[in-house]
Amino acid sequence: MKPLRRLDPDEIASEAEDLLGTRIEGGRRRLRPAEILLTALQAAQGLVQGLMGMESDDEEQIEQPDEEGR
Amino acid sequence: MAQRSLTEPELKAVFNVFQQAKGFWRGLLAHTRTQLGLDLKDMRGHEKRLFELSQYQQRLAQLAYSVGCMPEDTAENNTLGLMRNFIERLSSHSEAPILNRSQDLIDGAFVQAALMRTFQDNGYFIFVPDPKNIADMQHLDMKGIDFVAISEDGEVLLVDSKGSKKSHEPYVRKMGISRGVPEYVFKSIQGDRKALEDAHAGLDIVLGRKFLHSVSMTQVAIEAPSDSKLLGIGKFRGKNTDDLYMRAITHQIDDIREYETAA
Repeated sequence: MKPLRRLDPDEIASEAEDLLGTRIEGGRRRLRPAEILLTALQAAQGLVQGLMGMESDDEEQIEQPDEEGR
Repeated sequence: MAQRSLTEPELKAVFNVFQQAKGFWRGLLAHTRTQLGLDLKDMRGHEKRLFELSQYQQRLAQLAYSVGCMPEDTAENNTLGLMRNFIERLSSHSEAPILNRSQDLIDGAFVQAALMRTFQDNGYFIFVPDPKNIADMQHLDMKGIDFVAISEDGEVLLVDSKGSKKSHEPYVRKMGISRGVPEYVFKSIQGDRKALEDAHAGLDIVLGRKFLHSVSMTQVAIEAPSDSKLLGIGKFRGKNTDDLYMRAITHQIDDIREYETAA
């Protein structure tokens, strides 16, 4: 158990990368509209790819033969 | 708009999009799938998966709390907010369980972050399970304790936070404390004595106790609003909402304690 503390911007960036697959950086800087748009595109593309990846994982699991080669 | 070639920073940004896109949501989707498996009672490696899921949500809550403490117009706040809105909109237009469960996972973590902030802003000292510490996760998080709040009077609250889209204010329920938990919490606080530099009246009271039976400890589940109109990143929205919610929570906790004493 540890006392709750605020992560600093570097820790936030690396936790976000680890948990969500992307670095969230900027410190105390406001995002520009172009960056917001890029992030939205990134989110959309990443989500679609993630979902497609999961589908193909599932298919592979179904098609994989068992230990006895069946 | 006249066509022009991209500047170097713009090119770099576009390059980053394609480089990072593959990883975006990776962790969230993987853990949502674990949750779905558990929902479907898929018991393969049940304990391990449950542990990893708890660990993930605890880390996400601590991340949301930290981001919520930053000014609202920072890149961190914008990005996390954008991700949440994005998945919220998608799940509202889709029946896909993966999207709905992803949103539940995010909401749960954000409600925990907002509740921790509310307690902290109202003078409570907050302890959280260390997601990297297996004993912490097993004794606390996996026993339904998302965080521990100590009041200025030295009352220890073990809190399980829950999000609800329908609720408009917090609702508190008393929970039974699992065996071994009070000892673990008391020992952890006492063990942290040297590391604790923050001056806090309630913490001093608990640190001053020699025996566990002289510490007042209650476990509660707090259901709080998770609708995005009421819940922001790491905090509840609206003027004085924290005060109102805290009053509602303490009032209900007092009722629980009064009932306990009378019983």
